[in-house]
Amino acid sequence: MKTKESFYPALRIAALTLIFIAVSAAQNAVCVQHKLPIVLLVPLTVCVCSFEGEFAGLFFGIAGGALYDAASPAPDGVFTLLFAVLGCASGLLMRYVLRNTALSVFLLTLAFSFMTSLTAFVFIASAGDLTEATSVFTGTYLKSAVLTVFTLPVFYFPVKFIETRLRKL
Amino acid sequence: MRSFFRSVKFKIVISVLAALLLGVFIAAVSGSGQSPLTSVVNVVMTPLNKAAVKLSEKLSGFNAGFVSSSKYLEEINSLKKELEEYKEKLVDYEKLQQKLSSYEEFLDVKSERSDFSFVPATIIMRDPLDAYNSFTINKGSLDGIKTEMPVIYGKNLLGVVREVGLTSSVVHSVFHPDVSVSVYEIRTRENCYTESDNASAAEGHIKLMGLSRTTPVVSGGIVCSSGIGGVYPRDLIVGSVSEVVNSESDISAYALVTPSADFSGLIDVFVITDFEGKTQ
Repeated sequence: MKTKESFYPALRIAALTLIFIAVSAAQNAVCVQHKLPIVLLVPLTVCVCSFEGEFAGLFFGIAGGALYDAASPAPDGVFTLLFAVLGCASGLLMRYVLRNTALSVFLLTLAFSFMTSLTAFVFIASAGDLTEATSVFTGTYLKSAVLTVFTLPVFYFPVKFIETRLRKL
Repeated sequence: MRSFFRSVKFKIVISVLAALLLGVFIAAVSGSGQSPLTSVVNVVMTPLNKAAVKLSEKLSGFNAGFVSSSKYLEEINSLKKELEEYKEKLVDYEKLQQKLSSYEEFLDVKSERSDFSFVPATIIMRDPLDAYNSFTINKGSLDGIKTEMPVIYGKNLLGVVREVGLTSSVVHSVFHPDVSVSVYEIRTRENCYTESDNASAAEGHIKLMGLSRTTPVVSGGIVCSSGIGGVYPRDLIVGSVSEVVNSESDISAYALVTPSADFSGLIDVFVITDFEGKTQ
């Protein structure tokens, strides 16, 4: 019985870690190759951190952010820090303020996605002058934030399934 | 929620966030431009990303348009299988052709510039939110790569290494605003420098600054690196002039340059690790 109690959480964390790695590889191979400005790690991080809570959410946020930082030309560590803060915040809000429903996850993903796009705009696009800042922000980064949110169902249901089936007995 | 803010867990969270912030500062001040955490992640993710790119290329070529009928199902399936085998061979052939042409260009450059030392690399990652065609290559400090090393394809300058990890490096392309190359136009020999911003990068151009209104530079001129500064070797092709524009803010002019290399189709590149005249 004790073995089962520790086995299910370990299996859950291993499954979620593998999903993070696979999604990071898919983001690079699929989204970049087909020029889709979608950051798949954002909805995945929100889904996982919403179910895992604030403490585990911090570390899953670090994982998601580090995977994104590896491919990003923005100053290193920025997205790791951002994802860590937002992962912890997602877990905190889900546990103490919001109800853990699809709508809450959708709203958190929307906010998270917008903040990621804004951070990317600040650290990447604003390296140049800001003459065309508005059109660049709305044309690329805001569009990315909206498109990213539409990928939420792809992650929400599998993550929910893993979380409910592999919770500690 | 108040109990969380008073708990040991909250203190651990704050400590971890402080460590991450420290990592950002370390990455900013270190010569490699990468934090230790990202270097470790890259060691794990580089081979996975290469495999994912290969898998995605195979899947994007897969033709799922099967049409079957009960009468000719077996024959159609057999013909489809044969067609897929030929397609795979064609894809392999095209890849070999591409590799051959990139190595032929490499040989051309090597024979013209015997002072160059190269490290071949493959592009493994790009950021979907990056507007400047920057990319990550599969070579890092373990392969002798350092920051400020130029990256080329054939005789074309692509950009410069800005962040270096153990097994991968991030390259900022010539479209990136922090990349400025000292150049000259080969016909008029006019010395100037390149700059980029969001608007020009979005249109696929970089700007050639420092021209006068009476400049003899015209559309079609070839722009090459001048070697001044010691970061980029001389005579690497940056691009061709597409238009000369008078500046609206002063009496100077600038030219819009279209880089010669097709950044979207790039896979194999070369990093110049040493050349004559390089600043140490």
